[in-house]
Amino acid sequence: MMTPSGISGELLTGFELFRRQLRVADMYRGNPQRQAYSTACTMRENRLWVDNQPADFDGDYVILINGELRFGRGHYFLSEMAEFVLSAGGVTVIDGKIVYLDNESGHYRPDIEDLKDASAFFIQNQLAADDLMVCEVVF
Amino acid sequence: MNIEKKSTEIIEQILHQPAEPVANIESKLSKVQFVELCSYILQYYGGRTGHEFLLKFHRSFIKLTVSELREMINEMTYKKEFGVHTLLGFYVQYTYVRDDELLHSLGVTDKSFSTAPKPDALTDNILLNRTLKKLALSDEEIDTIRCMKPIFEVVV
Repeated sequence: MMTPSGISGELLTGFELFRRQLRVADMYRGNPQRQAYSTACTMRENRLWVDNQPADFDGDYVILINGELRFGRGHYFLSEMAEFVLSAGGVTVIDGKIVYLDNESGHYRPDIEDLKDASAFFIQNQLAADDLMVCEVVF
Repeated sequence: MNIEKKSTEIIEQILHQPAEPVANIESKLSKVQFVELCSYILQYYGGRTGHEFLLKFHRSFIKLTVSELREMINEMTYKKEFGVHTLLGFYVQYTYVRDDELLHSLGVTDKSFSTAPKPDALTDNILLNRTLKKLALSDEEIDTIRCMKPIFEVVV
């Protein structure tokens, strides 16, 4: 299975916006999640890029404790079974900008405040579209 | 049927060829096999991938009775809570199902559909709409999924 990769935390700012770390739910700790891929993204000119094209995809994201931002499918897979992450949820990216953001992660269960922190983070890093849609997922 | 192998095959198709029809696969599955597949995929993959599986195989899913859904959950011995979480998320995000009697029948006592958004609030959700489009679901199929209702068996 491929090892997920992402955008280095050195390229991002605003980690202090996350008021807490997210811990994997006890019942899932240590049990791998089957997954198919991570999305190899790069960042330049305040946009996300995949294969030298402005990114266009729907999927999951995690921000690791070291600040690395990863995209793909399956939060616990993307985090390589990390006990803690800074942020997790779902995104839609169009033309390299995040146009949709939610807090759906069965493993890390971010709440509405975590979602707000994530929204502020992506806005600060100029990765969010002007008309970013932020959606709280209850379950 | 090798569940792990079949699940991998199906998920690979959904992820890499989402518009590809699944009727050929679906028609060869017995109900028992489909329940086994649901159980495996929801707990081992779950999340958005689990939802896409249920969307793509909605014709089989909507025929499951509540009793069969319970059986599916009982078969989740790896990550039951995660599988159930994925299942409930599917109902909330893609259907109009908001019947707490379903939750109780499935043994879910710590959640209520009363906290879920009203179904029509989801029609403007970019991610959900793109998912439905990517999977090449027709308007009729989307309506069928939205309007699905739990099948409670009547004990005579």
